[in-house]
Amino acid sequence: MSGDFDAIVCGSGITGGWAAKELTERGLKVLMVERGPHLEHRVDYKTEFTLPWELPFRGLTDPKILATTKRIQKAARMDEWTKDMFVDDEVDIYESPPESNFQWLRGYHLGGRSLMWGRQCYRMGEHNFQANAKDGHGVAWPVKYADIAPWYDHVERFIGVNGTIENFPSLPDGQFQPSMGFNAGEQRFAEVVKARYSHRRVFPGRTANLTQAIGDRVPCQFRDQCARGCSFGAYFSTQSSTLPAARATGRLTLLTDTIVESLEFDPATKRASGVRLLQAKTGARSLQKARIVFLCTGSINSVSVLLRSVSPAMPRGLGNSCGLLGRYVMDHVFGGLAFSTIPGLEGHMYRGRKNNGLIIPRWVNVAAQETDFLRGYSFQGLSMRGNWSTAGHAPGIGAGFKNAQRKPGPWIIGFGVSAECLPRRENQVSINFARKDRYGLPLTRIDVRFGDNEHKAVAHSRGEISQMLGLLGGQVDLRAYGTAPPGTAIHEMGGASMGADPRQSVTNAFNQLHDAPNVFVTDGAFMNSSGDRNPSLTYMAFTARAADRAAALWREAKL
Amino acid sequence: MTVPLNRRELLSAGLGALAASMLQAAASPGAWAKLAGDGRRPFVDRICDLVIPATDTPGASQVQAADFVLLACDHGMAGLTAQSPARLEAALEALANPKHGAPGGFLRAPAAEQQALLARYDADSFARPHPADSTAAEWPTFKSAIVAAYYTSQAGASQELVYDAVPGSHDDFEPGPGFRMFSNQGFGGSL
Repeated sequence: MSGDFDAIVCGSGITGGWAAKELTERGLKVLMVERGPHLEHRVDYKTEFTLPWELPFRGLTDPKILATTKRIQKAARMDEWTKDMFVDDEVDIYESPPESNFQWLRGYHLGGRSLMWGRQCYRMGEHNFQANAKDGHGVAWPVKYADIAPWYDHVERFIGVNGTIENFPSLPDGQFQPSMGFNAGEQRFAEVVKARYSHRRVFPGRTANLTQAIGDRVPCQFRDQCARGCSFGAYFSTQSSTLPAARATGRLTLLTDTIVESLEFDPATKRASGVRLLQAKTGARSLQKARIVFLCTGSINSVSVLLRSVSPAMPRGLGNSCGLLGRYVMDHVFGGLAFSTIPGLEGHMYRGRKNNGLIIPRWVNVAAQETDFLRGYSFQGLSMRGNWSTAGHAPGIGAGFKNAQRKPGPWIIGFGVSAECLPRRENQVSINFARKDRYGLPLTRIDVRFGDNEHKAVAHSRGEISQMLGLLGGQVDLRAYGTAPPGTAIHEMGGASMGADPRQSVTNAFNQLHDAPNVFVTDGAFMNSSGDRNPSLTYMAFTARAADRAAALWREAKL
Repeated sequence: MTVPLNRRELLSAGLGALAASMLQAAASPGAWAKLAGDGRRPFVDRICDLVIPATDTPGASQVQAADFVLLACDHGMAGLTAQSPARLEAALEALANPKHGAPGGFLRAPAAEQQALLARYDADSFARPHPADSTAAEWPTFKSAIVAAYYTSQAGASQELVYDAVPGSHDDFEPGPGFRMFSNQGFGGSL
């Protein structure tokens, strides 16, 4: 491997892929480092075409595995096809106190969680960027929606997001491919909500699944099995999209099975001078130099890398002169679930498994404070027809019973809620230097807890979704409505909060460490508020913007 | 990162089915072979066929549904136990014995009578609440294991129902009288 790189991108997931693409396309020679094994597009999607009767567990997972090696990862709703995409909980360990019970859901392989993500793409609105300044929680954002909007455009055009133009105040529209639309059940729900409420709307989900081809990526085949990997390239992943683009420049070097241990800091230049690497298979250590470092290893891992980067000049970790590195960690409150049957649509059916549903974007506390909790929540859900999988719990046996399964079951609709998590200083990622992981690295500790505001929001959402579902005239079921432990939304973010003041924040408006401006933190660690919606699109937009900034500074020899 | 709800959750939680959670405790190929000589198998095979008989497509015993049911019991899925088949057999024996005598009265009974006995037992299990630890309360779970085993088999998924591997599009339509439901619709995470 040549030692001559302009930039090192740590991590190959959603943001690492974007950093590599944007930097190489701007002329930089880039080394991308991934801690997990190589996973090649198409050829390494081992279970993509596996049939259920070919699997020993018929698509689900051995309970022994669920109780041991996947005892935490099972919260990611994996199945027998996708279980190997997730880490081994008995090997890739971390600490979390019982009061937190943080569920750290990960995939350590090339492409990271870009292969298994939910593909939901929603822009943050101006009210999201104003929230911290408005109510005083967390650090005020140093950017406005207008700053990031062009980068949302840029990302959406490249990855391909299907959606509808809605002109809804709390959820900005974007550069959309044709929407996947509603099915009959979703359409019915949207109609009854629109008829009853003037300030809330239901519209089709926006996902990074193509409905029109982009290059050699073909439109979605409606198999609803994205997380197995998609040889059609129909959803956005590092493998399908950013990695081919970066490779096409001829300026990318990829290094897998290599863990980023820490960053080396030069106090004379106040720059990171290198990345300390650890070979996962051999334990060999090395130092790789570059003028620019992009940290994209996932929020918690990136914060951990910085906290491990202790030096005489940075004894509390690189970027931690403010003492806030690792603070203000968040995850969306993943709550619900709420269900209802939908009567009167028996004559409607569909073919194809639409891997997208609907969203009820936030309407509470947008224009004014209306509730006893701050900020708000949104709902996402889907509708479908029931089938044989419920038949065992209804009366009947014999030929008539068998024949009945040939017909579609009732229409059902279900929702989960995603509530904003306030940024709290006490919600923290730290390092336990007394314990080591299997590589000898000190252990990451995660202590994130939801507070009264989050619980009030979920309680409020329960009443609202109950009323909305009640409009359908079916059987409403909220027995499963609850709050999952932090981490379950898989939207962990924060820990290197962005802000204008170096005394109160870790990164600046362009994702650079205040303490070492050649280090760009562009995974979710820079987020200083969570909003109420899926954040990956925002991470991508900020990454592209930061890469543009880094390339400009590189050209000007300012890094 | 993730969508808050998927088809599997909607079916399994939304309609209260236990089939999905039951399937989470199946078995290895080696375990299947071990079950081939299981003494419980003749009874379970018969129950499988009474629930899902051969018609113009194979029945549940032909697709080896009993393998899965027995493993579901042995792995304690959804409250089933290794003794569940014996408990069910005893309950059906109790219905059959006045006429056929114990033991084995149920299996010795003519097919039509077995069908009637199980239909009666099934109807009773759903007709009124039973103590949680009773065999009658266990029956819906036991039956769900049979149903799951059948419709995840090749014949059940692709002959009895329609296995649509690559739909290619999403289209709404009105199902006609000959329409047959898709099998790979929201089970096991897009089965």
